[in-house]
Amino acid sequence: MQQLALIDEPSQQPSELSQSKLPGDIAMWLVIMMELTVFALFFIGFAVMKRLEPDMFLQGQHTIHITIGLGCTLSLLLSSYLVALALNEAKRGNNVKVAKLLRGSLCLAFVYLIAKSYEYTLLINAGFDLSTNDFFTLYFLITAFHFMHVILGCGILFYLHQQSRKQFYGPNEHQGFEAAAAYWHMVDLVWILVFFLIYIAH
Amino acid sequence: MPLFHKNIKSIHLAAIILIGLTCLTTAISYSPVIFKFASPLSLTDINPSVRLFSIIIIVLMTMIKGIKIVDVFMEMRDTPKQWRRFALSYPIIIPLVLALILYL
Repeated sequence: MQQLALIDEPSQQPSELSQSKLPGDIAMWLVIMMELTVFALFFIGFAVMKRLEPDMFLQGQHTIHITIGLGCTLSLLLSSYLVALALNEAKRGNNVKVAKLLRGSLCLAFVYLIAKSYEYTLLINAGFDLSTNDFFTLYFLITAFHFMHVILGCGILFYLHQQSRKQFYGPNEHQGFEAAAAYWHMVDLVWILVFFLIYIAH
Repeated sequence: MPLFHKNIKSIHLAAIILIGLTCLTTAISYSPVIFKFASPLSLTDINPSVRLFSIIIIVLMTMIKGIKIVDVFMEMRDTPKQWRRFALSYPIIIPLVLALILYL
């Protein structure tokens, strides 16, 4: 009843009306749930293997580069922050600012991609690869799987950027943006756990 | 308009908390290595209570980071309760399960 009363109220802003529903659409949330489940299985596998072979995993964790891991985390967090700000601007129809924020977000995502590629190069040049041991098998699988999600996320952010340049978003047209932002934040959330498990928990 | 400003303020605050906690977890996690720089792999001789406290703090901070991302960045704070609880369960349960597997 309260919601019906809100809808009848013409002065109510669309962004305020939409606050009681799920951001984005249900299909994107199903995708997010599936992705999170797959990553959770990877994480549990990594933790169990670490419990079984603690010395090998401890040595592996001291081989990878914490500063690069920290840089990746900060760049993804800041990128997510800019996307959250962009979504708020999109709801107001401020497309110029949305485009600027998304450009910043894309730049930070590229910082992550470059840093991670650099870490892979360092490790591969030092003779570590998928077949080195269980730690590096899981390390490369988990981080490369996440890396692919970041690449896909960059494609989505670029699409949002192009749409905002066409003045597409406004108070009544931001559901797609919400869904895309939810995906990008999911990528960020997963990295927080990757960082905890692989770089921090030693 | 007030809702917009409230959202923006909470996003700024969440970003500061996230960056601060990330730096803090890294510092706590690697401080024993700094103190024992000569033998970074021999961490077992750290006082067990200090080690346990560090683990609990790091797990809690990871949970807070996840909760901030879900609640503020994903805007789940104002969604229906069941969806919010479901989304929040991930950054709470997964670090807890991982910590139990790793340290119990």
